[in-house]
Amino acid sequence: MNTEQENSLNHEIQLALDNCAREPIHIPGSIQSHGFLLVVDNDFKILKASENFLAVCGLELDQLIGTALSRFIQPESIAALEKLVVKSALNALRYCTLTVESTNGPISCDAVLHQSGEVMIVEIEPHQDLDRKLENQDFYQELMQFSVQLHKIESHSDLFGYVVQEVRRLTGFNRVMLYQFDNEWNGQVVAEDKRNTNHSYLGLNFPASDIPEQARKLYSVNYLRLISDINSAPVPILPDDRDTNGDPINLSFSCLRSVSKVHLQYLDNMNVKGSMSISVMQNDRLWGLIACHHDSPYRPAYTVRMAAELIAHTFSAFLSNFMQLQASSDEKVRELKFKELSYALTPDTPLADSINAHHELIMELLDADGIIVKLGTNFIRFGLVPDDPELTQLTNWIEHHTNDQIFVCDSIAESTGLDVSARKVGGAILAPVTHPIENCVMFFRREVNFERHWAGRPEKHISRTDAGFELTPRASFERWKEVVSGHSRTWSEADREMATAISKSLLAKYYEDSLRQATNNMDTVVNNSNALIYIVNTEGIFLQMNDTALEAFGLEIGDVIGNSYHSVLDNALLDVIDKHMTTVLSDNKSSTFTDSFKHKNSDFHLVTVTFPLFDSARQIHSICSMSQDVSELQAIQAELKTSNAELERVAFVASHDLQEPIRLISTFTNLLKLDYADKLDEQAEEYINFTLNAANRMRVLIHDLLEYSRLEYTSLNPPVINAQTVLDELIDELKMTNKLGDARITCDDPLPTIFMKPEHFTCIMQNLISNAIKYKKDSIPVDIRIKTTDDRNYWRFSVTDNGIGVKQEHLKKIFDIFQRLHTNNQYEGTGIGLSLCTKIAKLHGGDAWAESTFGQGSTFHFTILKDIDSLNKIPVCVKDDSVV
Amino acid sequence: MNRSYSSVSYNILHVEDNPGDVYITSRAFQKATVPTELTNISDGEEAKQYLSDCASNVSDKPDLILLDINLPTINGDELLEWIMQQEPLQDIPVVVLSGSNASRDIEKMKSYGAKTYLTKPSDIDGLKKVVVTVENFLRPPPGGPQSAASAC
Repeated sequence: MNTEQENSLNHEIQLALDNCAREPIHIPGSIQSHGFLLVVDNDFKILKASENFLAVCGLELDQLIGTALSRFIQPESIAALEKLVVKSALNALRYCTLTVESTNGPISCDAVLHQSGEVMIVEIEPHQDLDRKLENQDFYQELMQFSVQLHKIESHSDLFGYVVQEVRRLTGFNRVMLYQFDNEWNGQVVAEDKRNTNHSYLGLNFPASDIPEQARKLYSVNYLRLISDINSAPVPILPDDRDTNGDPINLSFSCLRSVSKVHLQYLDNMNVKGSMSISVMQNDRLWGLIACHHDSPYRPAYTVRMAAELIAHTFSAFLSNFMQLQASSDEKVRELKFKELSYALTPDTPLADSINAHHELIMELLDADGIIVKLGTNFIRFGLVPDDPELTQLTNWIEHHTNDQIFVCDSIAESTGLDVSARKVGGAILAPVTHPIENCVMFFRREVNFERHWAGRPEKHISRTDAGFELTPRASFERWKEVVSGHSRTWSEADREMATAISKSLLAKYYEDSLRQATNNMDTVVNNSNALIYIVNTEGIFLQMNDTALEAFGLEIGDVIGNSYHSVLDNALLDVIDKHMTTVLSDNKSSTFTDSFKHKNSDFHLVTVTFPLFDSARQIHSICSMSQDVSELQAIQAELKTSNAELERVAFVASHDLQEPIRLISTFTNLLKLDYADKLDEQAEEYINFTLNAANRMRVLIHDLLEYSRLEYTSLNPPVINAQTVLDELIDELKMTNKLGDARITCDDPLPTIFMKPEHFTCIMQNLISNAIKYKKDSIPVDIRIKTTDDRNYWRFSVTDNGIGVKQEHLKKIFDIFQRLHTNNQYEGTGIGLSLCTKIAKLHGGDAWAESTFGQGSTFHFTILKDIDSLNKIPVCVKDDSVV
Repeated sequence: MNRSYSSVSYNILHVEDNPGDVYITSRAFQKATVPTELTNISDGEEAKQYLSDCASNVSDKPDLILLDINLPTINGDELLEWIMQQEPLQDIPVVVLSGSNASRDIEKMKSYGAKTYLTKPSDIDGLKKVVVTVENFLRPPPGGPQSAASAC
């Protein structure tokens, strides 16, 4: 066979299978031969009839169609039929007995009527040749007996056995089986009652394809189905729908509907000649069938079938009840066990310990063989679980393929394609599924290899006929053994729910533990903090106070918590805390306070940050205060100040006293030069000049240093001065002493009136101007611009020059004391000038800084406070008048 | 006391503890236009004692006091304050010659009654200026030593 042929063959086989599943079995256009079918309109005028009725009435088809039904049955029978027409229950089958006037005399029959669209379908079954009859009183007797006995049943298997036995006793079939569908619609024979000579089908499985979907659909609406003789030829309903182009008559609710050839063949292969099936429904789903088989054609009376159907309905209801009772008793046991688990998860025991102690209970709750509780990267394992690589693969797979909150499978291998055979794990539940899977609980059941017995190999056979491929049911129903592996016992809906519940309660406990741990940690931190911490609600009630605060304030926790700070605290402390609380409550934001006060004979120097705590609705829920005792800090600060002042004093005294000797060195060297001019040679004169230069430089250095350190020893008390006047005087003096050279100085606006000692202002300006002149460019005359800016609380003075500029990286450095960027040969200077400016500016609450473009010039800024009150508030270091 | 310029030179009390300064100052005054005689005392307490004697006419009062501030035992400011409290000494002109150029010192000494405040110079020109300044305070009222001086 070449590939093309093979493809074509496969295609035809597939077609045959599809056709079977698609066969329109509800509109076969024919009925079985043991009754007549008449389609009538609302006036009981005959529209269609099964062909076998022609012989009964002795008319040709065209004579019959349009004839009133009353012509063939007695008036009281028509009356009985009319009673069956109840508009409100169109689809319900209604039964009565009637007599048909045939050409061979009257025939007593059972009749049922049901509406189908606009028309009514009347099905008539003659009483003659019935294999089993049931008189009216017997009917009730049978049902009564069945019902009474039913209540004595205690187990599933007893119930199933009882039903098949009763149905067989009532109907007289050779074999009655209870056939139960699984989730995949495979069926299993769960109970059987049979004639001894028949071999047993009990426990055998039948594949889903044996009862295809459209057949199951019919079973769900039409509960009883009789095939009295598989070999009787189907009787067509005339006129044929295909001839009249009308809609085919829907026989879904018909009792006489003829049967698919495939099904008949199937029954024949099983050696069944007559059969009857009754649907067993549970929760609107086809649960199973009561299947009755007979080795020869077999026809129980309609009443018998009705009684059997009632038995099935009763069984169905009883089964529901039975299963519910069973489920609820299982549930109760589970509930109790679950409660036990819940009680075990106490706050005092860590989760891992609880799981350790109760893992058996957890496994029992789910009938699991192993569990894993995954808490982050921590895995707690018990019982049969996959090994680590398998587990990683499994969780990865679930993460990527599961959108549900829970993953449930009976066979990991089959569901995920992963190989978990190493540990013989079958099915698993994982809950909750998160992306990624962080914390979860997993349950495992071991792989159970079991044998499934099929009634013959579970496949339909395709046979080749002249017309192509045709589906034929399997010929053998010999027990066929299949070994099923990789599966575990099936997880039920209740298992699924229980898994969710367990996972929820374990993880809830885990999160609680984590939260408690975090809270404990925080409490420890708070209590060990050297800050004084307490929380007060908006009513002023203390909610919390740490040990540090309790100790510092000399309070007992019992007296504090739950009480208002008004009642707990007194005097200074009360005032301080009250101030904090009211401020934060009114500002609705964090505030920082500095307080010094006496409480219980102790001095407190506290810096306190007080801030509101908000609830989820962003409302102030309480207020937290964190205070730091700064007494020690303040003492250290004072000490630092003193030692700093001392150092400065040393510098001052040193520079002051250095002045004397250097002056004398200068003077005497000068005298030497003057008085011995004629006695010294050139070399000696050069030495003397070097000495003079060095002495001179030292004098300037000492002078500047003295100026700098003297700043510490002047009380500020700045007078009000006109800065412009002071500047003008300075410029005049510089001009007089020829220090300006060709420099031009301009002011953008007249300088303001400021609070500053004139010598301070002069000092800064002189330094900045002489810098500008000193660091001029050779090529162009010096141009200095002085500008004043009103900068809120400050005056900002800016001195801009067109000099050589300062490199960006040096801008900060030049303000450091003694910092120079040039050698003395290039530019003379002590390196004190700019630090002096900064110091003066800082003394006046301001600062000094510079901007510059290297090669183009610089701007030096300094700021001073405008306001005399602010100036007076500036803390001044030790002022020691005695030094000077 | 009647002084004649030709026979009598001006008596200057120089209170100064630094020998260098003593030397330089006396050298500078040797070249003064008026004849001066410098008496040096290098200790505050000693100077005080010397001036006490002057006040009680034990010895002659100096015509001018050239006063340093930083002195052993008693500082110049204290001495000046004391001098100004001694009635017989009040009219002696006191010129402060100090190494300090602190405004605080200047103000203080002036307020105590110093005629002027000079910063110790470090070059020859500075020294000359000191001498000129002192000379100005030495000149007597018209008809006194001044005319004699100008007659020099």
